[in-house]
Amino acid sequence: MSQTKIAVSGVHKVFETKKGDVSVLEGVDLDVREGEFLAVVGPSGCGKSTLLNCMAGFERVSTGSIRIDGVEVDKPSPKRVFVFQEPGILPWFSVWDNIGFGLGKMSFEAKHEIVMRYIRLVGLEGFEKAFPSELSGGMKQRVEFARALAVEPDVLYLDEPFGALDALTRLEMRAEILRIWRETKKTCILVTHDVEEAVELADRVAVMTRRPATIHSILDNPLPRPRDASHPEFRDLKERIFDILGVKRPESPSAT
Amino acid sequence: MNLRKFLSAAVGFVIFVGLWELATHGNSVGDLPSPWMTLRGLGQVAAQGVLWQNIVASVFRVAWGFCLAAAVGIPLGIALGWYPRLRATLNPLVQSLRPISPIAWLPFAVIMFGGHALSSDLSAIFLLFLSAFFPIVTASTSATASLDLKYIRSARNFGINGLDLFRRVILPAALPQILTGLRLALGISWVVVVAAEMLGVETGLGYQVMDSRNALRMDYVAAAMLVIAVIGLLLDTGMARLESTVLSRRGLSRK
Repeated sequence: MSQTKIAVSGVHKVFETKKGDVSVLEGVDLDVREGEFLAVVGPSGCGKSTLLNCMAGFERVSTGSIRIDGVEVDKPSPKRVFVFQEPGILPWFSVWDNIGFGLGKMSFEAKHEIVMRYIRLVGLEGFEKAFPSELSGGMKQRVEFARALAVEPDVLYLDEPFGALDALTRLEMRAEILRIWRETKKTCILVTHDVEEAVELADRVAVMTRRPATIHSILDNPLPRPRDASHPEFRDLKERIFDILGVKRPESPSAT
Repeated sequence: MNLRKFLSAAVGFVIFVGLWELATHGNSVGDLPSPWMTLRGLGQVAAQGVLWQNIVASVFRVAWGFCLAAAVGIPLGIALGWYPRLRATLNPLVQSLRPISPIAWLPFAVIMFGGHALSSDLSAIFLLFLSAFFPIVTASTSATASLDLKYIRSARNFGINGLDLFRRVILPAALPQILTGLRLALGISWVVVVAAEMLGVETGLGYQVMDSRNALRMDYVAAAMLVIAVIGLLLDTGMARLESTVLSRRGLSRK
């Protein structure tokens, strides 16, 4: 049994707005295990991204605590890297400079070796000098993954990383992130509203309630990879998540 | 394609010059000058040599005013954009001073810089500084205040702070809008310099306009206007080219 990497306990998050305080998270408890792929799904606007922002240290929790390896999260750190919904890579830097962005001071040779290793990992050989404006959406997302991985974080936070991609590229990138996860064994936390995506990728799926949100339940997903979306057990798990989310569906074809 | 563009533009000029000729045909030099008289006048002032001195004087003043405004306006604008407290304190003041035409400052400028050996240059440069300062500071403020939070967060995520954050993220992100502000500022300065040189100075294209008017040589007035137009166009083209070179070198070309 792998040990707990991230311990979220009793987290409340209240935003102060002009119309008064808005409670977004109300008592979230969640343990993320070392090296696992965890998905968090929930209705849109329920506070999934807020939870992820708190886990990354971009936002402070109002009450409760988030600990990584037993240490309270109070600011962002290269030990845990956030992968943005739309690529957060910098348009004024080339692919090479973007991937080397977080590497800090080191000799050119050392930097070049690391950058090239991750360029190969995400399959962007030959695009070192290209600017983001010359790349497709999927390629930009690969640069973002490479940049995140280059600093060798323990944890990757994925905030709907495929949201801005077209359907085909999205499928391709799902396979890609799975491959990267297997090769690098990072702890991955994926926030998504796409239940199928969550079931395809994750070891466990945490389902959140409406705002103010808590974790409703955490479902184990023991299905072997690669997963087949038409497999009965795959569909069964999806149905269970939809039921928890309270999604009303027309008579589904799986109910035969 | 380029030839067609050029021809279209030429048609506009030909029509304008034609109407101008029709309206001013047979006038004397003390009346509205015709196109031909303007060109002849241009030849004369160029031959007298004062034209070159006046061009140099005007460009020199604009260059000083513009560079000083950029040197103060860009850092101040970025600071206003970055620190919300500072912006809340100073931006309303900046925005209240901005609508005042720099020309209105002329009497004060004369008092402030009067008696100095370079007093006429200094007061003109002061007006030009004002005319460039406000567009530059406003553009820099809004460029910095509207930075994509995503970029700042990812920089923080990788532990990039302070000067490094400024150099690698804030400045390049704000650069396109700052460059647009600089171009706008230079255009305004060139418009203002002519008015600023109409009082209290004895060089410059603005002075040439007033001096020619006093001598009742309207052809020289029109010649000065022609030169003002050409130089203004050159300055703007130069800035536009600088803008696109800087942006494309940084992968930011706007298509």
